[in-house]
Amino acid sequence: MRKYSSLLLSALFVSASLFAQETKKEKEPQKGHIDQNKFRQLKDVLPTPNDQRTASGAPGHQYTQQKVDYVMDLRLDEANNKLYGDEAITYHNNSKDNLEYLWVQLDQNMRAPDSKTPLAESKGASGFQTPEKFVNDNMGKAKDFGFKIEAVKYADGRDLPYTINRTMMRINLPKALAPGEVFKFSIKWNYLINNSVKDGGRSGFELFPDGNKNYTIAQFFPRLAVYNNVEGWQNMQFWGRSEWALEFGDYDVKLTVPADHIVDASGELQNEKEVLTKEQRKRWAKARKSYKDPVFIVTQEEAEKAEKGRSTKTKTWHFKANNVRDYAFASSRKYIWDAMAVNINGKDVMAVSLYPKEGNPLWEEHSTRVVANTLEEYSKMTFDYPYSKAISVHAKNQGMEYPMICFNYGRPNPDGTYSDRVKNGMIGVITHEVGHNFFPMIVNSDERQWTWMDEGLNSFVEILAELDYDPKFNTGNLPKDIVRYMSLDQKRLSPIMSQGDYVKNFGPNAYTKPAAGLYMLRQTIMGPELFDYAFRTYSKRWMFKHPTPADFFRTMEDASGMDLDWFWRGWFYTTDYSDIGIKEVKPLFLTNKPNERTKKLQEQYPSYFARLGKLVFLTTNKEDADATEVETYINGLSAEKKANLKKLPKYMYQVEFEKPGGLPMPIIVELTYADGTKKRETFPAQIWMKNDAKAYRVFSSDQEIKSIVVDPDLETADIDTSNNSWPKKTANKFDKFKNKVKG
Amino acid sequence: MKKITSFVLAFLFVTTALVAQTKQGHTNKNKFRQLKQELPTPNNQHTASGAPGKEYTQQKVDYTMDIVLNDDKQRITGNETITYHNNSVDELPYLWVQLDQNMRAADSKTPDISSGKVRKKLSKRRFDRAFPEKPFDGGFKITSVTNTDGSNLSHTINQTMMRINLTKPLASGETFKFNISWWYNINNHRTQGGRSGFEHFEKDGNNNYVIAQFYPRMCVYDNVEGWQNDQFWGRSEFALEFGDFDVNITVPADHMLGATGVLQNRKEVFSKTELKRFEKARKTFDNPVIVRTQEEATKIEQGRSNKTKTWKFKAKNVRDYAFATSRKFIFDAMAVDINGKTVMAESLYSKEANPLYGEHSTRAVAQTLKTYSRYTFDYPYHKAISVDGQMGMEYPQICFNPGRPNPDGTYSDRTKYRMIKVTIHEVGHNFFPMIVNSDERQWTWMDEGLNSYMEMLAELDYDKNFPITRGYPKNIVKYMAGDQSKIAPIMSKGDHVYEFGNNAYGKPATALWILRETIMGHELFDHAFKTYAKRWKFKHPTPADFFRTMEDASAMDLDWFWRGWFYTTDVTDIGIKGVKKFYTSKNNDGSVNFNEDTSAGLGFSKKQNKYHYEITYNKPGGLVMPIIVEFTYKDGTKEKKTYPAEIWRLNDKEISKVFSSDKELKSITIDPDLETADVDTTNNSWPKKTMNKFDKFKNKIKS
Repeated sequence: MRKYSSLLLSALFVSASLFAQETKKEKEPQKGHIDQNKFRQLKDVLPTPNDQRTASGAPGHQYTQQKVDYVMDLRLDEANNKLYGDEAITYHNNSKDNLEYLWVQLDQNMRAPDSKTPLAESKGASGFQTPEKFVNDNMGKAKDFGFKIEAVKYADGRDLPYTINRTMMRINLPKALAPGEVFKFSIKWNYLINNSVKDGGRSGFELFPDGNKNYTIAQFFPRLAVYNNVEGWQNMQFWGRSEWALEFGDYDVKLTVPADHIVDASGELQNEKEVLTKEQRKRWAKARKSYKDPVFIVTQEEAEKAEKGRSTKTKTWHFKANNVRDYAFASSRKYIWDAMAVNINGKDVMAVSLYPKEGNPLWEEHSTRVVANTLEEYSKMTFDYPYSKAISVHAKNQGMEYPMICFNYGRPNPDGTYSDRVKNGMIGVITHEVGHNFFPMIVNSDERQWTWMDEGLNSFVEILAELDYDPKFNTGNLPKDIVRYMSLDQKRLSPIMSQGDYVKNFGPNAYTKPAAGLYMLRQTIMGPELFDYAFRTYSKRWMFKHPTPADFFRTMEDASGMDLDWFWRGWFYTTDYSDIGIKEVKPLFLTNKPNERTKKLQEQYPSYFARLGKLVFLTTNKEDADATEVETYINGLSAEKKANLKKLPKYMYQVEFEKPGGLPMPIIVELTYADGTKKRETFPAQIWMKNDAKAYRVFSSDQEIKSIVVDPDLETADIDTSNNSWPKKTANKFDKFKNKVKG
Repeated sequence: MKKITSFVLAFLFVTTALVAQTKQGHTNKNKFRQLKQELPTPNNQHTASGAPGKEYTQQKVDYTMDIVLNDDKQRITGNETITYHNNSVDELPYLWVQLDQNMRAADSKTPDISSGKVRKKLSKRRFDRAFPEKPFDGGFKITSVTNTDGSNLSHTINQTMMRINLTKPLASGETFKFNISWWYNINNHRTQGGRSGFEHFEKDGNNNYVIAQFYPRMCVYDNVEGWQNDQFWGRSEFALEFGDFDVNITVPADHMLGATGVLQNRKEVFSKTELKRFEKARKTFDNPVIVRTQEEATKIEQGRSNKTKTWKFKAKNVRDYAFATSRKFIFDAMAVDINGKTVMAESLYSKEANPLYGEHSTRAVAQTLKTYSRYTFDYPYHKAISVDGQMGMEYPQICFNPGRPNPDGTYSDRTKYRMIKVTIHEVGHNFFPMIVNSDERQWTWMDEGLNSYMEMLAELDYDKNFPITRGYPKNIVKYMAGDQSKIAPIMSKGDHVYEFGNNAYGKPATALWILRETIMGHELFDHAFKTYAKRWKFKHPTPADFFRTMEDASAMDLDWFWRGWFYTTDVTDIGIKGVKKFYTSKNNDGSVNFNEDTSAGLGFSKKQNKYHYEITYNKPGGLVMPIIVEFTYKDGTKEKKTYPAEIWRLNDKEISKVFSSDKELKSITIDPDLETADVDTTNNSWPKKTMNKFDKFKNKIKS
């Protein structure tokens, strides 16, 4: 490459301007700076790779993971809304470390009378509220929620010492648990179940006017915290928002409920013959072969009959679940139950739904079908769904995910009619919650620390699944959907790489923004082929393992050959936004006349210009347009060379792009020519590498360009499109208002 | 979980706030963000839970030394054989040896790095020290560095560090043995300063020797610093490996001597009476037994023996070695029961230190061993000696302490408590850093801060009214409220810190005190602190190991606390910005209105069933801390409420809380017991207190 002469010339100009400065007063001493380029690597931000987590983002050869098995006997006391449990835990220390203690999560304690969650809320007096809320807040006695730990014992029955710190319980081992060893102990507990509609919560029950209840139960048992070499024990408290970090293990669960309840849960039912009628088993057999439509196991008619009774007997449902990170179940005599088979790459998986009559007809039409669609679409984007089933349970006001089972909202009006909003909300939430089976139930990231790792990735795949279910579906997670959030006052924004508990605008921060970012990576920056391969690589590498943000960032680059550090830094580590605009367009013409500045240079450096010989120039002055010099040069070329040339461009446009936004993004340009034809050109984000504020491009054509638009399809979440067009669009009313409030 | 659609609603309110928008994006600056970028990535040597990992290794260095003290010339001569065990998985092409005495050598750069101006006046001592008539010929005179076969071993000296240039790299698992011979002139620490040296008594011509850093010592090699060969500038202390010592010390025959390690030839160096008395001391747990009396010592110090005696010691698993010797020393000792094991508490002091030392020294040693053992681990060595060394310096099993009564034997409370305080502090150093062996050169606070905190507990055990002057939150307010250009974060290396004492002793001690008393509670804190001490006993912990263990063992996320107190110079200042009063009225539809009572003060203009107060707390200080509020009712009764620090997680400046009660309030006070080191309490009360004279003066000097 020849950069010699231009360097020389620029050096000359610089010295001239330096000379001019000498006459000025003494210069301020300049402060140096460290590397602040937006394209610098994330070396000082990401953890140092090691043998547990490699530099390529994969689990290393010394990667280990604990395993925790549970055997539980559960008893639901419907009259008193209490759940009793006998739990035997087998803890496998697969790490290389000695453990002096074990930590157990007691999530129900977030609701206990002495919980610190309400104390950590800043709350002024609200001007209006419902009488019920007022009475509860100011006159109600705190309900006796929270775990009642009856006993913690060694396998041989002796008491095991423990210490409870709010939602965490430390098992004080008298002798450290050595690497490779197994520790067995048991916990006996009970707790008062919350009414999830009135008391809130991610599990609980809904009370119906006839006295029936719909139990959707989770976080119901003391669960082991994760131990690894990223956090040590992940024993950050559960404040109510940031979710869970859990180990994989095998579950053997016996669940005793009123005899007329229908139950489904994580895992495979072991005693079908004891708990299902002959007819129900026959219907199940049929459902296992039905790939097109759901088959009713319990019909609405049967459910309506059942909900009138109140059995005083009990039944015990026995489930086993292998390699799951959590456990949940649903139980009610109100349930309609349907199921269908889904073929996942040659393997049959059951899509299942449980809902009371209040959910119909919406639920029988969509729930199980949406489950099936979700399993298919997510399997394409990641790996074949490895579990035997996925259940969607109807639960008012809930959208919560557990392995193989989730609780979803969406209820028609009492007369059975429903709006599109209710329907789409229900389809959206089922897709989302069933999708969580992949993230984080299988690609088991640490939810307590990083909400976006499951919510963001899941909301992204959810877009694709929803569009597959209904191409016109309004996903709400596209780049254009995040503009409003990203243009909020900076005080209300947190980077995605923040822990959920202190994040403002949680939904846009941890769901929409990462989802829109991944969508942008796939559609605009990487392309589906490179993106999908890398995303699948990540999912497969970390299937049934514990990935961290660095593992995701590194894998996406490692598998695609794209340096995306600039994207992770901007989109995930800062609150910068995208705003690229057209500052100025200069039409230029070929001429033989040098402008004043060039003339001056020619006088100053005659020998330099003498060496260059004949020159042509560009002018903004249309009158001076004269292409004869170039035409003469062309005429002098051989016929062969001439034949390979494109047309002589009559029109040249120098476009100055500006970037008021902090994020570097590709510049997507649409040119509209005089004849109405259009042309797209995309300049990669790296165009901003040397100058973060402005960039120049020259567009040449043989016909006039009528207009130029940046980001015409709203792919980059540009927060201000008023500067995206040339000629400038006159601001419409909304823009005017927007500009006014922006000041 | 599915996000809830409340964003739409929030947006409606927000649009009005779009005016004066902040344009520049930002990285995560929330004060509750995790310390991911500050702490090193965990690995198999230092785990994420803060424990030594499976691949944790540590070098071992054994020393065999023959030491001769020349009392006439105040000179030490030594021959030393070092056995270096390379337990690391790395190959070492060279070894580094510390030559601390060179800090005092003629070519030392220590004086060159202090900025100085001519002063109007200097005390004689300071003048003599700054402008000596004859420069002191200090520093190690290395007479030979040889292989075990006697051949010369190549070495290079860089100030206080000496590199041993190995001809063949030392492989992992191998051992290297070599010899160093040396001598040096001992400094008079009373006139020249220093962490060891001699004190000269004009009256009787005797010298008390308190000797340390007296031999070339191996540097630490690990996978945190590589070789820890930061120069010794005189302030930041030492990083040392554990090993076994076999030491013979030859001193004038009439000296009494105490040193690190188990004395091997007590019968040769003690008189029969002394032996008998010492045997008695081994069984006496209530009072010190005097082994050499003041009367005997006073007699001995008149003489000048020209014979010598050699004291032989063996010390196992210690990181350093020191001794004290003089013919002036009185010696007493007493047994201490540490969880069924007997440890000796001993003292060596000249008559000039009595009766203060006789009354308190050994007792303070015993108390320290008991209290510290309770909060960490059972003291593993066989003894701890306190020496009347007229400084405050710590070594394994022996330390040198200040404090002397007036010539007539009387002493003030101030002298007494200072002597006990320093003795507890220096004996306490046996735990941090002599056993929990942190890198003092890099992190002063890891031993001084932890030890200053533990010292408070031992002092209160010794005397429940002990006048503690450093460590309580209120004690650190003046420092933390000072000029920011003169304050460094705790996480700074000692050599470049201003106000060393407040920075590396007082502030970390206070921080731990606050954690224990206000944030974690005794049970959680003590378990975590003990876990840390046990994990790193006889090992090399780093700050991350401490921070991580404290969280891992307690299930408290304290990253916000470490960040604020240890990584920044932010201050606590929480105040009450305003109080609004509300009473309720019911509407026909059952909904409830809150009506503001705008009368002045906290009283309501009408009697109500329920009094609602909306209190706005603001936080001019940068630190996030719990809000401790004391509500005083009109009838004089009080109620206390504590909102956890996490209340600041969404708004770092200002938050509101509703407080509802059946009774009217008279006053509200924040942090009534001064638990949080709040630097400005003028905004802590409502109704606002009218400023008293002192506050006015304080505000004046602050602005």
